[in-house]
Amino acid sequence: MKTIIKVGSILLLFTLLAFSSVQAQDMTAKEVVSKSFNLFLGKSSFSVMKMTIERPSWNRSIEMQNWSLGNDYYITYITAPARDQGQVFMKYDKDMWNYIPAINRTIKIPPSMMMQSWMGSDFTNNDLMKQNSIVTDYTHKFTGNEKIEGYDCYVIELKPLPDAAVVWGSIKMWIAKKNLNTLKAEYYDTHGKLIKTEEASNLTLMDGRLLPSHLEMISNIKKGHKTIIDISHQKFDLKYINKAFFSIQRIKNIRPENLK
Amino acid sequence: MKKIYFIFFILFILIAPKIKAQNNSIDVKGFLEYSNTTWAPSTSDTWMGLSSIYNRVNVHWYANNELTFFAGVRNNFDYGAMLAAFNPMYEQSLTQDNGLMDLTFKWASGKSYVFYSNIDRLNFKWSHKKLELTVGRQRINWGINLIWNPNDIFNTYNYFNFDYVERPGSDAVLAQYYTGSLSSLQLAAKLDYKNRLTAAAMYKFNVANYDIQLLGGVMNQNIVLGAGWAGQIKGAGFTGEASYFRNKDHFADSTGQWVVSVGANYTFTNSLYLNTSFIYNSTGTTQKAGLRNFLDMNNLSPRTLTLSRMNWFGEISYPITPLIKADLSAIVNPYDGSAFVGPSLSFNMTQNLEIYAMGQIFTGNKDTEYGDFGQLYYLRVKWSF
Repeated sequence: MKTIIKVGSILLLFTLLAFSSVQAQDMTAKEVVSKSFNLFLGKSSFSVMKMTIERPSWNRSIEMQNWSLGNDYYITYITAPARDQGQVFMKYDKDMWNYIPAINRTIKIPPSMMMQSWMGSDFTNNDLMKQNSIVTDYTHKFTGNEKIEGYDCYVIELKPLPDAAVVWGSIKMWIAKKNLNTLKAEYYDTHGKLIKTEEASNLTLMDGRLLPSHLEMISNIKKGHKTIIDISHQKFDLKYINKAFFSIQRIKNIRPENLK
Repeated sequence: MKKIYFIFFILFILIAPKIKAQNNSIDVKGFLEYSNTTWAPSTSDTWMGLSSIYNRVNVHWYANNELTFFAGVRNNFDYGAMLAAFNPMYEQSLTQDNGLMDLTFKWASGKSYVFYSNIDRLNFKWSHKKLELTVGRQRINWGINLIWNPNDIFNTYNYFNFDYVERPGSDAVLAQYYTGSLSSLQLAAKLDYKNRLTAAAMYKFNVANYDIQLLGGVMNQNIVLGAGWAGQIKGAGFTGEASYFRNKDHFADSTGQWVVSVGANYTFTNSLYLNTSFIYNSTGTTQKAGLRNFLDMNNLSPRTLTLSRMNWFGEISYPITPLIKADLSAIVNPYDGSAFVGPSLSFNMTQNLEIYAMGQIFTGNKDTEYGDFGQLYYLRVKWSF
């Protein structure tokens, strides 16, 4: 039960995809990073995704549907694996609950329980809960131009600000010039060692926006370790997802959307 | 005759996933498990085994936006020397239905085996805007703590019965009205097999990041008043429940009973999890509390969560690998010195298959709360579908 609590919040950020067409000329490196990050934000969204943990000798996956409003309201419904199917998580401002249908109970989740990673996922809390950190906690510098999977990309180097409470020594990002999708990011520790690489691919038109539907976080330390997120459905700025959508009554009754 | 039922049972498992595929308004899921229990009694060197094949099927039918039907069935086949040692008492405790409706069916039994099915959920829920009405056999779970639930007056959670977290349902009517996004008023009434009434109202709300609940009603011959909370202190979960019971027929010439439990839990960034609770029972004994046998534990009420004045619980768990989780829990009776220690390991074998190994080690002198139960070891293979 506890093990999957974080996943909803983790994946939430990937559900917040929003996009407005942007002209990339004459932007600073910081603006490019900020606009790329904002592609993942929206007033409200609905998404369906699958997260797979790959290890040399095993893999496990979890599937879910998410409804979200801004950063502070979301509901996640677990559709697989069978053992956890039907569990629902809700974040409502600063509070979180988990509805467990087997015992018909809504448990209030303390903040510390959010710290666990699901099956040792390679996404850390820092990556996911405080993503705008990449905009606010770093300096940004253009360092070149490269092609990734046919897309012309800016290469941008991020260095943490002196007082920033971040774990990375530096981050290198590849952001497509045309749509400002971040297609690749490398995370280095304070000694300059490459720790992990994030890759985004399968740019797909989802609800009118071109977005990566396949994300991989690959460990550069442990061979064969990676976490994959596949997004199969994505909708934005849905009118029915307003603040009133989020309630204890909702999480006790919500059913997954029937998508083909 | 036995065979026919068994074939029916197998067919049910085989057909269930196909129904699911055909019709999206019907949702079928559950699990099938095999477990082996080994009991080492405190008074004898002869160990005894119990094997169980246990299947659960939950069927939800979403008839329309306002109406849902829910049935939950358990099929159990238990056999072994442990059953034989306690029969017919053991079999009776398994097949006794404590609800108003008798929905437990004994298909076959003998000295060393019993095969039975139990429908522990059978209800319909009608929802209209902020109002929900649930009628039939259902779990009404008013607990807010993780271990002991003095507020859980309808289907008391039993910590030791780890293989039946769903708990038997109550034959009840529950009306819920959601007064806000995070608040609700609930009215519930149930009758048990002796036609005894438990009926209460609960108001639940959220203030300053705390869930708070207040309840009042009757539980059999007792008047009950209760309150509970769930919140956090510096990231740690902090929960509590208190209930006051007093005999309504002898109100003037009886004193009441307080049952209070408070708990806290914390999860570290490396997934190490700590959990602690205590329970206080104002009418509990400060002497040796060995006043019941283990089978009675299946039929707890919030008044009998412990027969001692106080119990303390502690738990530590850690995922050794992402697929293997270790857990160690303990309960101590500080008055009579008896204790329970529960080490366990769970192995996630495949996406839907789990192996669980657990010990329930009870220690203490004769006639103490946990001194006479001996040691129980479980090995369970569970497949969820």
